Amino acid sequence: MNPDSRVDELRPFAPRGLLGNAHVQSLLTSGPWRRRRVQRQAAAYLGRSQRELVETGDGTRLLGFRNSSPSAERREALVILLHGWEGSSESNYLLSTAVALDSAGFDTFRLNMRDHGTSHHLNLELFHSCRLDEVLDAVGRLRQSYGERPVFLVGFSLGGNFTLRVARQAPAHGFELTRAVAVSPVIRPRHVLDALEGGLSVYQTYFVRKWRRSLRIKQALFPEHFDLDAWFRIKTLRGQTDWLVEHHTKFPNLHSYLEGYSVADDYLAGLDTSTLIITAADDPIIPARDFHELPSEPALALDLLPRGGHCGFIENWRMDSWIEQRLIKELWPLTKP
Amino acid sequence: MQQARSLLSAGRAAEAADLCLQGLRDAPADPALLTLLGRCDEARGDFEGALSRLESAVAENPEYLVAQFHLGRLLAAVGRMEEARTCFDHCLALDPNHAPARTLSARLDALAGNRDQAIAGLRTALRADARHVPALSTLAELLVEAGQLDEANELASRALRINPSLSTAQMSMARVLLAQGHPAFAEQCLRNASESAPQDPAPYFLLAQLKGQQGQFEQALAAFDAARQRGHAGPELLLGRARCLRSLGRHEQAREQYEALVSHAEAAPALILEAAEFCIEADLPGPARVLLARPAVRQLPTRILLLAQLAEREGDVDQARQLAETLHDSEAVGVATAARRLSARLALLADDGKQALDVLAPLLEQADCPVPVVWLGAEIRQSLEDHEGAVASLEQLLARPNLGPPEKARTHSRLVTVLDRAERYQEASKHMRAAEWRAPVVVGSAHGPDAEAWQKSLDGFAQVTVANDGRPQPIFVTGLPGTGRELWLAALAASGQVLSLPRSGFAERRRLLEIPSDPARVATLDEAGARMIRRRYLRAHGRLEAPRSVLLESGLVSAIDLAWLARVFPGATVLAPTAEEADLRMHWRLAGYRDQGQMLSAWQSEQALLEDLRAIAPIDWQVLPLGDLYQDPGGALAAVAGHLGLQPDANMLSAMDRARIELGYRAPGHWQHYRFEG
Repeated sequence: MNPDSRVDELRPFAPRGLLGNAHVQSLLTSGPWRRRRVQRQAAAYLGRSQRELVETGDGTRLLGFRNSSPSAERREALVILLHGWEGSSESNYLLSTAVALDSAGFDTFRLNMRDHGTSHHLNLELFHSCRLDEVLDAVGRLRQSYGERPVFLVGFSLGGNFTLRVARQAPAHGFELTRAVAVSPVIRPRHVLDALEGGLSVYQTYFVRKWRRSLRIKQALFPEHFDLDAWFRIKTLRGQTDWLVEHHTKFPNLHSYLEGYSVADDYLAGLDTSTLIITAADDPIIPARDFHELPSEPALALDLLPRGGHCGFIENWRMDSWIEQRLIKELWPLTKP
Repeated sequence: MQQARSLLSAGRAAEAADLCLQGLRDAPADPALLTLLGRCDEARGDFEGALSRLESAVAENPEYLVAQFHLGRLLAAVGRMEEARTCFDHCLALDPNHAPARTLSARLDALAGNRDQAIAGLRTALRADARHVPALSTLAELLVEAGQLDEANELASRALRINPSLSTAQMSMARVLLAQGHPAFAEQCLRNASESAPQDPAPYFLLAQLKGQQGQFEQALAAFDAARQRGHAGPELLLGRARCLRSLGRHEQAREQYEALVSHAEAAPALILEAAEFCIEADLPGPARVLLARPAVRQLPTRILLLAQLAEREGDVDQARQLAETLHDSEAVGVATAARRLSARLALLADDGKQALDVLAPLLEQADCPVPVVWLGAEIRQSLEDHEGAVASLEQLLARPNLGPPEKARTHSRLVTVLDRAERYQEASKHMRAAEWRAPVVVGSAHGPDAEAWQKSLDGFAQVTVANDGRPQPIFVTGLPGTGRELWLAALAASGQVLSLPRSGFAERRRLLEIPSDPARVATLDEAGARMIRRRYLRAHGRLEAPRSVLLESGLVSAIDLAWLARVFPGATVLAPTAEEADLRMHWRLAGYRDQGQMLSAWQSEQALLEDLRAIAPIDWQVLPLGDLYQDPGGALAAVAGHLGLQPDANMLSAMDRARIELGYRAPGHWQHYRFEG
């Protein structure tokens, strides 16, 4: 396929009817209806996936899945994909994007954050969003092992937030990324928590359910290390986060923890890695004003679409995703066959 | 009494027993003291004494619930189930809310196959005491069997939260997680359980089974051994070990395990057949025949199938064909399918493709025809030059919605072969990426050994002298698939003068040869050490009897190991087949190897090491370019045979030719039909 033709093929994202609704977009993207389709389409891709453990400098072990593209038009480029909070390397949006990139000739590596996917047994301590170093180190190792060829980092939601932080810290950590793309990234976490509490209860319920499941696994795997009974009695995200911050992190309070992974204000000032943020103004979880307040940096581009919801960008009722084509359009010109 | 209880809880059973005996001097019939003393005896491993004390306590006061319960528990532990049940019934008559008695009673139900009744009993126990961990764990395990995984997970989690350090609770959680498809999580729970109860064999046994299912046989074996060291002695452990050893190619040890399993007259027929199948695989026709003659299996169709396979192995093709034919319409569908496949393969080997296709026809007509049968059908059609038919059947197979990824990759690989043979190179190349299914053959590593240690091992050769202790020197063959290695092995093995050691037993021979070796050890191996290794290896495998005069080691060794072997067998001959890089990569693509880049890097690294070794090691090197083999196979073969003191014959040439076809070798330069990127 000619790269120019790929660029030309991309239509503007213009969802019709119900698909123009932010909640429909946000809920469809991770929902079971899409899941069946994504799993079916990804069957061969998953069959070719190679499981890998990435051990970072501090001994943390992160689980990932590598695919070498079978496409006749290989791009000789690697895309590292990061999922959102309580998502995984198998999440609909991540898997679907990985399959699309694979078909377009990109090698892919779907990296699970600690305690996500089926990786709860690999590390004793609990995941929290300020654990940047291990992700930074893992991405650096993957980057270095791919030689001189282009390496991209693409993250969704909280994975988008990690992407921005990795992009910011990579040069100081001794490696460079060819380009980073953050889709619907968390910018200021306390605003996200506010939005989850003030918005439709379905989002909070969704995350609480998945978080409870995850911590139940963690407790079962390390029963003598964790006593989370008190946490299980708390019903709200704020209360649960507060409890974990107090009992399982070194942060003095919830506020300092949430600010600990914020990329707002001047965090991205001096960004050297070529970075793109793609997000939607109607995202029910990430307030659009957070993006307007980002510093103006030459290496940072923002594409704020009017619609798309949170990590949605579903084009039609066949559940085709516009974001996948957009990512291919972004990355393709930076590669050569 | 209180002090005795505390001592018993602290594991000081002897001291606790002394206190009980002191108390019994004053009150010889005290049921509480008798019960406690019985528990002390039990803790010290004296089950007979414990039973006697507990029975006395119950006889003294049948209303004393504690004695009834412990007596029941102990009776169940020694297998006296009905008596145990009577005790639990007494307990429950005295106290219907006695959760421990309800739980053990339910376990007896479960053991008797009454799962629903057991589940109901356990639910009653939990109504009496919602925090009774044994009831929670047992119910979780029974719900796993019943397929109610969510509730099982909830119960097992609850049990663990109540008692995080109880190994049985951790084991239950492991079983639940395993059933939910999380083997890695289950493994963590089993490790927790083994830490909580270091002397309990059960977690190790379950871990061994888990590792075996995952194909990690070395780890499975280690876990089986750990379970055995902790007292597990059941036949299932022997069988697990046998299967692991078999999978690891350690045939001698596997044979010992199988022999132990089938040594008694009542051995299960399925076990006898499995042992016989193993013997056929391990090239042990004699023991296989003995097993297949046992009365317990005489009427089973699988026995005939194994006899047919045995006949094939022994070269009695007519017998194999006749036996397989009798099973074509067997009611045992799996046996009938395997028999037809065997018949078709035999016909194909006899160049009778039409007959082969006729035999498979009833299977190929089925919509859900087994995948290996479709593959064989395509191979037969290809042999009949029916490329269109072969391609069509494989494409139909690819269209099956339920075809798993490994089968899909192998089907693509077969399509590549068929299309390449049909000279449809462009179409073949489109399938190549999707056709990578074969595990890479990586000898050594891309990084090579530690440079200093390697140099030291090379320097060590300055002092080596070629010993002549009258023992035969084996011939080693280096090279990767595609270099011609397999062709030379096939040709030499076909010679009546050569004893070719089968690849299947190489794991065992590696152990005897003490490889993989450490380059640091190469320089320090003295003649006495070398002689011992030589003697051990040759005694087990290298007994040459006329007319065989040459010993051929078919296992593939790395350059580092070859340096070691040059010390063990100084003066031995190494055949080093080699091919151009483009030809090698072509062969790997057509054969469907994964990670070809890794294979190539490791191969290049190995070539450099072999060059180092060739310059200095006391070895008779014979470099055999693939091009020479294609240009004049008879001449190349005659030259090598002459060098080894063999009489070249037609069998060797035809074996080489057969291997060339079976393994999909193409003439050097075949890659020019394709255009590859990168």
